[in-house]
Amino acid sequence: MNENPKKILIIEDEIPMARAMKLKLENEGFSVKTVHNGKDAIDALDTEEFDCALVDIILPQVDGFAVLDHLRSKNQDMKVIVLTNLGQIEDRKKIQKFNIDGYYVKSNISIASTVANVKNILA
Amino acid sequence: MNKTNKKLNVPIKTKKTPRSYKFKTVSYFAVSVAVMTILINLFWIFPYISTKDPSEILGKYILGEGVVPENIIIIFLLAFVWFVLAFFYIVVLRSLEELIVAMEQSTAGNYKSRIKSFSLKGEFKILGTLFNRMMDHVQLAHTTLDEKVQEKTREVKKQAERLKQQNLELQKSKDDLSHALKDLKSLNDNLKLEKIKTDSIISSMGSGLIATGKDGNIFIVNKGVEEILQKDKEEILGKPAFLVLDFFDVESGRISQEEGPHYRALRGEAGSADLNLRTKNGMMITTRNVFAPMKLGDEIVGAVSILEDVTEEKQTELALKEFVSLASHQLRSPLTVVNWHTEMLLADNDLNAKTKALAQEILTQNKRMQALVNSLLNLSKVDFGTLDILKEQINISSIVDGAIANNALCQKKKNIVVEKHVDENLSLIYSDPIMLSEIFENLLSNAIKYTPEGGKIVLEVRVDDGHLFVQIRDTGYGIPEKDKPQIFSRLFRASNAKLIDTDGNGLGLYIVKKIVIKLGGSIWFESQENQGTTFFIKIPI
Repeated sequence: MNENPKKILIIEDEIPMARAMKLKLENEGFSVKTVHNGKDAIDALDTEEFDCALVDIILPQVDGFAVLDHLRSKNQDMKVIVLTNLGQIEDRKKIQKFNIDGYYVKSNISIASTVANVKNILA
Repeated sequence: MNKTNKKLNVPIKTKKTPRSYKFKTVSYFAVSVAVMTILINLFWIFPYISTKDPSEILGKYILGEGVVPENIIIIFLLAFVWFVLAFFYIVVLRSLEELIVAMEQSTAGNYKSRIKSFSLKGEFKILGTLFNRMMDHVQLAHTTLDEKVQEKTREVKKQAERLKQQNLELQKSKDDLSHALKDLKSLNDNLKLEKIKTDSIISSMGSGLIATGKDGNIFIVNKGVEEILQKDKEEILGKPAFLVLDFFDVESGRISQEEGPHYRALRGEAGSADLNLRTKNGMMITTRNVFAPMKLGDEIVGAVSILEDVTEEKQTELALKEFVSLASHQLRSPLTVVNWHTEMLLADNDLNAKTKALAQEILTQNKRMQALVNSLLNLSKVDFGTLDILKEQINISSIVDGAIANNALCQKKKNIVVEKHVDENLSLIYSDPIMLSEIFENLLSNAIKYTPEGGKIVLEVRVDDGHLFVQIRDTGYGIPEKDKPQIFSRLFRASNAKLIDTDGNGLGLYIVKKIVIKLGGSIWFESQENQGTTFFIKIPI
């Protein structure tokens, strides 16, 4: 067991998805926190430090763009992977502005590939 | 009789040589002799009578009483007179006659007429010589004059010819001018008609039309513009386009003067721009501006643009995009949940084989559904013209890996070998990762689907000369010759494919081709039935 596991924040309103991803990442030795809306995400980012955030865009209360904006205003170095089912060009353009480390359409990527990508960027 | 002077070509009057003068002279001479004889006799008789008795004289004369000295003197006198007269005749009258004839001839225009001086005597010879000299001068003067006249005549003739020619040319020019005037009038009428037509077209156009001069000031505007801007023509004409048209970029706000459609057109650009526009009452509308420079030869003399209010169209497009976005999110989210959970189930070593097989089937079918949703979403993008490209630095190898991973289930099930050959020197490339993923996943999925169990698929990726080259080669069923021309058609499925796999939707290759074209590339294939197919892609990076 890794004594200083990398801390991951999962920001995902689909609870089953968040739960599956949390389980998978914890199995891989990461420390994982999940939040299910934008407001809780901002609170978590304000109170804790994370090595990586997996961010969904369609979120209740505060959307993923606002969360990314807040995140980058506080921390330019944190690794960020956007996992969304939005594929519109406008959304992708907006997301690109936040200097992210990965952008994936959730339905097109397996959970194993997602975890592999997280491991890669934190390596 | 009238003759024609050959040199002058004018008729001259000629007189017959006056031979009568000779007879006149002879008669004068005869009369003179007679008169002189009478006069001498009178001279002889009267003085003699006056001094002698006439009967005495007569008696002596009749009786022949010797010749008296007076008689001898008289006879000598008569002879002398006769000789004088003869001399007078020969010397004077003949000379005069010669002179008169020559003068007559010269006055009749015969400047060659000369006096035969050898027939003249004394002063008449001098006179004749002088006359001849004078005639020489006259003839010379006449000849010179004649030549000059002829020369002048020739010049006049030439001049007349030139004038005639000029006159003809003038007449022709006049005719041409007359025709040109007629044509011009006809052209003018046509132009007026065309102007009326053009004005009518411009004013009845649903869209707005604005034309500016080289200075950017508006000089043509139609009703469409008045309606869009809610301004009268008088408020628009003669003013700079950038003051009249208050444009805002949809994303970045008010645009500068140089970014305005008319100023871009004045710089030689032609194109289209969707821009927000603030109207007179402050309302913001969305406009589509199609603009182009007005050229006279190579010189840009102004700019013209068509202005359309596309607010409603944009709102509809936005609503549609939102719907597609929402639909894609709503459809994909449950699929993702099923995918991920099934995937985790399959990774659970405690699961028995039967349950694992069931879970595998769930995953397979879910992926089919996922592929169908992706195809429909992409199709809607193609149909609505929103299949947009967003390029970034990407690692092509990881995209190929992702495509292989997503097709791994089916590949393993059919025991198909997938070989991946990505150029080791390949660094990051600049392209659209989502679109490239769609291409690889579709082509790999097709290759697996239409290759029999135990087959082989080779995937090669290399970069050369600024292009990404992809080859996906399979040992599959191949494409029948008759189906080849339609293989990229929408909803088309090869005849053998329909028999092999009944689940295909005929959208995959259609969408792949659309994406490749959107990326500026090309796609083609080689195939032989029952031997395999190779797809080739070339995309600029």
